[in-house]
Amino acid sequence: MSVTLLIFAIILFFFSILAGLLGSLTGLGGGVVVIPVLVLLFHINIHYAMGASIISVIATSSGSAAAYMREGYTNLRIGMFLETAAVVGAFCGALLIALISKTILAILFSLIMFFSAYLTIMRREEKDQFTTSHVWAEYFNLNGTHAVANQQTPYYVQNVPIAFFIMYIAGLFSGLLGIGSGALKVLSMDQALRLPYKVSTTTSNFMIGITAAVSAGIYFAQGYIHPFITFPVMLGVIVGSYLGAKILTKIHNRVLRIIFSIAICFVGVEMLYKALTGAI
Amino acid sequence: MISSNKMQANLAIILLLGTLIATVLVLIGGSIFLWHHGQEVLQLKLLGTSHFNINIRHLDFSYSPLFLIVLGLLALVATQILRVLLLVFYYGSIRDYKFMVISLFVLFVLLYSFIAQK
Repeated sequence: MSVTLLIFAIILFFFSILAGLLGSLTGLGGGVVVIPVLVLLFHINIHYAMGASIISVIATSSGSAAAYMREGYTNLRIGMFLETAAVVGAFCGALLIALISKTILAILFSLIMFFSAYLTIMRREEKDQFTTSHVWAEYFNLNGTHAVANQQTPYYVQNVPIAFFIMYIAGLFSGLLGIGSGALKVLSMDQALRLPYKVSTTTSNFMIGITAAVSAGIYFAQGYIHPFITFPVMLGVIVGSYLGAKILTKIHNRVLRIIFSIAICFVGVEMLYKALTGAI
Repeated sequence: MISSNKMQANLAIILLLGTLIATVLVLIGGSIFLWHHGQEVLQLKLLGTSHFNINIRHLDFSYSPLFLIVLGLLALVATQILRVLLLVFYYGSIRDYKFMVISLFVLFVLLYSFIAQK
């Protein structure tokens, strides 16, 4: 397969708009689209794909986090507290990347896809009403308020140690696979901390950029960020995440979760096939 | 003392500015590169097996369009560092030393990932 550089950049740009759109809408980050497109469609080395993906995650975070912070949804204290576990995980993951074969990485990536699909489809809005919070939440003053029907309503943070551990695992995946691990981040806040959904997704959006930036330093050093591959990705993702932030309120969560779960399952199967047949 | 809402607004401005600067640099670099090389045929299989090292300690300044792209990418990453730095100052200003230390730790890991390159 051979195309001109211009056509390659244009095709990649449009796929990256989709990546940014899905990444900002679902909180999963752009990597779940960028990596399969580069590896499966264009046969790009998976390390370059992960380098481009890391940049796409930072771009998604920067674009959507700005909008969400203006709205006041993001809980910065929770974000920074959990980020300590995530950055350590990301650092460890990025250091391990050169030691793991592409086949193993691809299989691991497939499993992440299936797991992310399961988490996306199974997630339900938390209906529990808490009036007390975990002792760590009290100590670190993590509780906050969010707007419900134009009124600021308090929420009480639960299960902080579990969320902290999940966040380390999320960071590890981010460093290894060049993805934002937004699924695990949102999950830990939604299911463990029992935060309101919008607080979880917006705080995750704030965090994934910082986690990915830790990995980016190491990816730069190892030569995995190719400027020609990365530039259409970054520009497309910024356009997509901007559009995503605009239309977020107009899409029903359930519909989006079903569509996205099917898409990432399909990508996971393809990646698994490639890995098992030695096509990567 | 800076309020939390004011702080979030400042962070949003920094994110927007950083993203804008990075986008402009990458857009200019990418456009110039495609203007000169857009019609060249790319062998994707070859690209997949080649190694293009852009270690930031050994940047090649001789090829400006790609260098502009790298500069834009670095600006995007630097924006993340800057927002953590701002949080360090913010928590220091409200004397929340627990979160100042937490933010400092994140900042340290961020900087270390760049400084400790092989």
